[in-house]
Amino acid sequence: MNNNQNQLPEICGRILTLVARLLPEDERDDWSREWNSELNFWWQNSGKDFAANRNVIRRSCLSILDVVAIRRLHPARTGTTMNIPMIEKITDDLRYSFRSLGRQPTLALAVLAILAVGIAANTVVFSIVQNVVLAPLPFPEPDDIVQVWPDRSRSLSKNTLVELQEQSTSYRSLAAWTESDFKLRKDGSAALIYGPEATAGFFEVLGLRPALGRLFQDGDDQPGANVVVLSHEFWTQEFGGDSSVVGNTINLNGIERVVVGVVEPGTDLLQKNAQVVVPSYLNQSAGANYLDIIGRLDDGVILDQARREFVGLVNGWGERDGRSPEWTVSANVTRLFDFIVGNIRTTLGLLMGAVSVTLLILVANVSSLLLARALARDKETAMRHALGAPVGRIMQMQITETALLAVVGGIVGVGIAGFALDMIGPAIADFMPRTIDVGLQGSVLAFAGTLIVIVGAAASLGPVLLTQKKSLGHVMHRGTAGRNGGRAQSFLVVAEVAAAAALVAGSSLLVKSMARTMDVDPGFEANALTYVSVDVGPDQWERPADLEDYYRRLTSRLEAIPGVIGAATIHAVPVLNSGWSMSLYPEGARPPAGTQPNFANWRPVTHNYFELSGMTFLSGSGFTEEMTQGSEPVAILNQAASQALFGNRSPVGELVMFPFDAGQQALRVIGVVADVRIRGLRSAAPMTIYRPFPQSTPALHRIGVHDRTIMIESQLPVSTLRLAIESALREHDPMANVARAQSMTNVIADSVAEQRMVAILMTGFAIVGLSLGALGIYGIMAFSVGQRIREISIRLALGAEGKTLAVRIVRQGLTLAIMGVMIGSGIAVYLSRFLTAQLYEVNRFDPASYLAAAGVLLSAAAISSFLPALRAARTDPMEVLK
Amino acid sequence: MASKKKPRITYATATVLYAIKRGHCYGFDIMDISGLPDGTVYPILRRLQAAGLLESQWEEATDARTANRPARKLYRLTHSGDQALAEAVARFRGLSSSIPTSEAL
Repeated sequence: MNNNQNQLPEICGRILTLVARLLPEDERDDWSREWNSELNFWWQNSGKDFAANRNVIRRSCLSILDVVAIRRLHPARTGTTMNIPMIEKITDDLRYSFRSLGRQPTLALAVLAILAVGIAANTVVFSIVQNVVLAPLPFPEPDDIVQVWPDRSRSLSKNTLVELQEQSTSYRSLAAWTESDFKLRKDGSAALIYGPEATAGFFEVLGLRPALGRLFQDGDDQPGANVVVLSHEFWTQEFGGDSSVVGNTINLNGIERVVVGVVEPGTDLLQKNAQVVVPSYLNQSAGANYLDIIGRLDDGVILDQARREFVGLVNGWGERDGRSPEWTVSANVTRLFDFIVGNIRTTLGLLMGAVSVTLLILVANVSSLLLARALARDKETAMRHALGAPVGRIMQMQITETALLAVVGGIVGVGIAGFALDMIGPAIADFMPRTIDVGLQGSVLAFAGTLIVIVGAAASLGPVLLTQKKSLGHVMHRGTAGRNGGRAQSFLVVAEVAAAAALVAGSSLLVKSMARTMDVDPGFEANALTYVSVDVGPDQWERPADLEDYYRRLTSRLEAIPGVIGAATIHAVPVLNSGWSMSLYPEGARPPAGTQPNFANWRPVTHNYFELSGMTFLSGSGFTEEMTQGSEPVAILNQAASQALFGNRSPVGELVMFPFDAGQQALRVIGVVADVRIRGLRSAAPMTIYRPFPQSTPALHRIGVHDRTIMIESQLPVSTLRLAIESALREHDPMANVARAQSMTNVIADSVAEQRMVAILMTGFAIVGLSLGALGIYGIMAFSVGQRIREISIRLALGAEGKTLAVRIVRQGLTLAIMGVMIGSGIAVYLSRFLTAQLYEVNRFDPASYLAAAGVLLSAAAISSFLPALRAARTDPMEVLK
Repeated sequence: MASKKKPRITYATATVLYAIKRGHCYGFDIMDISGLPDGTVYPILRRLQAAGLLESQWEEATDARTANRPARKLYRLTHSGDQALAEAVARFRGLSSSIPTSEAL
């Protein structure tokens, strides 16, 4: 046995020191010596095992009772130490509470479990809300950072940035950035790493400082300045925090880049999990709209000023360049924070609301359980009054009891929340629009603490209000719960059922909406399709035809992989990428300046794509291999575009203008395909124009966009497919790598992940609410039957039929439930406005959903009251009346 | 010690007096042998001592040192303690069979 085990556990000494402080100074030493020696002696003679350890700690804690006893014997010498009468009262009350709860362990455990679950759920949701919506962005003066964006697509070009830098007076600094990934080559192997590509002002706008070296400076966004800045995390993980890394080079996408610095820790680089920041050269792809522009407002400039200025500038550029239609659509400047968390705010607000309602139900339930208990103890309370206990003292005892339950339940709840956040935190963080670290931070713990106090107070309200001075004789003779108590319980049950009804109605709306969403035909056969995004690295193609050839050879190589049925090249993945939208109009019908043009989503594809993805031709035919740069420019429209431009007329054979990649050449429409939900299942298909890749490549080559996506038809699992593709790709081009690969069924599932999460959580809350509502009704009916068992027996003995009595009891339960459901449905109708954003093809007043919810609740209520009713009907009068 | 008011002798108090009489003179020994809840023994000791039914003293430091442990405080009945116990034994019949002597253990 080692020395450590021989010694009394350290915590015992600490407890004794703390407890001794409650004694007058002159008694502390003697007292501590006695307790220390006793604990030591006992410990030495114990088995020094786990049980002994627990016992010795327990005994140390109990020393406080000794101190209380000593203080009581010498009340005159309380001196400067703590206010003992208060402590005594509390310890007395606590002891009483422990004892009285211990007598009904099932009730105590039920209350604890209910409170723990409620506080855990609220703490988890609050932790997410706090980190995502309430915590400011981790930058200095984050409110001054803004996102500059046109309304329709958030992206702008580098030309816009340069013009804005020259002409705008609202910003201290401006920068453009885009999410990106890079292949890091090290010792003959390559790993994919992530991080933004950004112009020189990026760090200045965000207000970030280097932990080491420097961040970007002027000129870093000019070609030739091959630098890179590392994130603090990447620096510690990959380079072990070695400061000599500054000045060394790392190879990203085949380019040697000098590490100039490391960003300070604990911040955000806008792209999630960013490991590096690489400069984006201003002259490359200068006209392409693929960048986010951010700025830091100058001192004294308010957001509205910047907005007005931007709209003015955008209009001016539009007129100057004769590109009015695209550029006169309303432009905007918003706070970066609103831009990032804007969409998720409503969703999280909704969840916070739902989880709070669940908590209300839990509190009502606990309150109702405690109330039942208080009513059952009516006689005891009356006896205490009769023996001279003041009302205040009895109330204090009841509050202590509830407080004890709330605190213990709360601590367990916080523990569960911590565990849950550890488990699901990373998955949630992935799903959120900003980098967050969900956990039990100070603010979350403070929230949980406040919640415990509120819950404790709310739950003790009922029993406390009920404690009035009662005549012992009255209570003894009455023998049943007072009218007030019964009313209070009924009120709580109605409230519970109402809240549960609101939750169930909300959840049934969401579930119906989710089912409608999953019924949507995306417009293609997702089953055997997998998309693979290819990252081809730096420009290596002199002519567009070379680029075209590169991908033609790559797809043939991929088609040769065993198990691959076919491969087609596309620019943007349906459902996942919204792609670029540009103006489209019939030849000779250019929209006049200042009017809203028709934007069509541009989708260059190879000729085999339509067949491969199972799209349906409504008229005309598809592309052929012969449709190349030299042949007549052609296009295929989707039904939405055909309808918008040509009405019911067939567009096949007509000419359309799409200046983006065809310039002033007219395109002949050769076919119309059925709509594809390219922006997600819940968005109607936008006007879409398909172009044969060989005819679009020159435009892409001009703006330096070389990366493409290959759509592969195969029954192979994605992981197997990805490995095979990676090896084929390496043979084809050692510089290229697979950036992403995902099955299209997953893409579709992911596209509604948020809605699904909301529907699942709401249903979870609704189930908890429903169960507790039912439990509440069962509780009150069982209690009332129990209290009235003599009356029921007498009725039965006098010839009342069991069946009639049972029906009456079920009717009582249902009356409460109906009141609850009516109130709850009203609340749900009012609150459903917050659901609108989540609902798809379901009206928020959808009567079927509300009726279903009411039906479920009333059935649960009927079952819950049926069980006590059965007990009443089966009562043997002789047993009771004996 | 403060008040010499005669304390109420409950069954628990009597058990503590009886345990000491039978030679269990340390706080924790009384806890272990009496079967009383741990938190109640010390408050009873304090009350009995304040009422003059018990007296306490520290054991010899040498005894403790040979056993390699801190010295313990031991409790003894006073004359009035003996009297009170005699009354209690007459009142609570089961008391005399409840606790073995320290030596018998």
